[in-house]
Amino acid sequence: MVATFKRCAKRMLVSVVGLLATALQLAGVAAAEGSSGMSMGAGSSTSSSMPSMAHMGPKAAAHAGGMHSMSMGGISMSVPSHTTNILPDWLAVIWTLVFFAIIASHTRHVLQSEGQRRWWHSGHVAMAIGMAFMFAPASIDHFNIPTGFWSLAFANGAIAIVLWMLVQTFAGRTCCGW
Amino acid sequence: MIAFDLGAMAYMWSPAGFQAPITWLLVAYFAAQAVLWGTNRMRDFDEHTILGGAVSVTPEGSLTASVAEPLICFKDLRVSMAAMTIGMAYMFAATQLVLS
Repeated sequence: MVATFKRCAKRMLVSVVGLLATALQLAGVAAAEGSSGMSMGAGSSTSSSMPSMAHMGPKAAAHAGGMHSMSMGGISMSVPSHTTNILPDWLAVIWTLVFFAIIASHTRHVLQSEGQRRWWHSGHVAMAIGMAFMFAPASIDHFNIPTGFWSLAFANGAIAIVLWMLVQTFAGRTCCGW
Repeated sequence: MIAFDLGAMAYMWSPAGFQAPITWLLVAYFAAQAVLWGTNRMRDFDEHTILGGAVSVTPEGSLTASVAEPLICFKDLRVSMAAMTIGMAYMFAATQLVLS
């Protein structure tokens, strides 16, 4: 019975990992297609209808006649003015600064901790860096890192953690409960 | 949980694949996380981990649950993690509102 339970648990975990990997891979492909279909770099811009706007996020917005000028991850474009934007430039800058503070705080924790805690804090540093770039207006983001890079990096990070947890579980070692 | 959070980050960086129901669920999830961090309830989660600890399979094939070492070890995590989760919820909401 124990062996049957173990087999079922293994199959279930493998299925979960497979589903997660597939979902993340699809997200990565979607991001790659999105980034290939638009012009990159701060200052680049394009007029677009709503469907192609679906590649964008609201890092910044400013009224320009009947259009918003928007940018995310160093990509900018114009979208119709009837969309709702709750993230003006000044607020995006404040959020970017907040995430810089979070990066500093968590980097200190990474240096002061060991083992699982260190990896846990490292994950938060990576997330905070990603969020800082996500909020940073194109005018202050000069790195122009493709959105596909972030998508794949975080997807791989998530998969790596799940695989590590599986290995720890089947090796009979204790790993984090959450 | 951090694997899920990283998965959410991957989703956030691929707005071409945004689905409104998923996005709003993530907004609710990160808002709830922000409340838990802000009220220090996340520490309870950390100390009384799911199923009483990490689940593992022993070499003999039996399933055991053991208590994992708490991860929350700094007091200022409450503030920084609350801020980060609020920021993530806000970004998801802002992106979805622009896309809709």
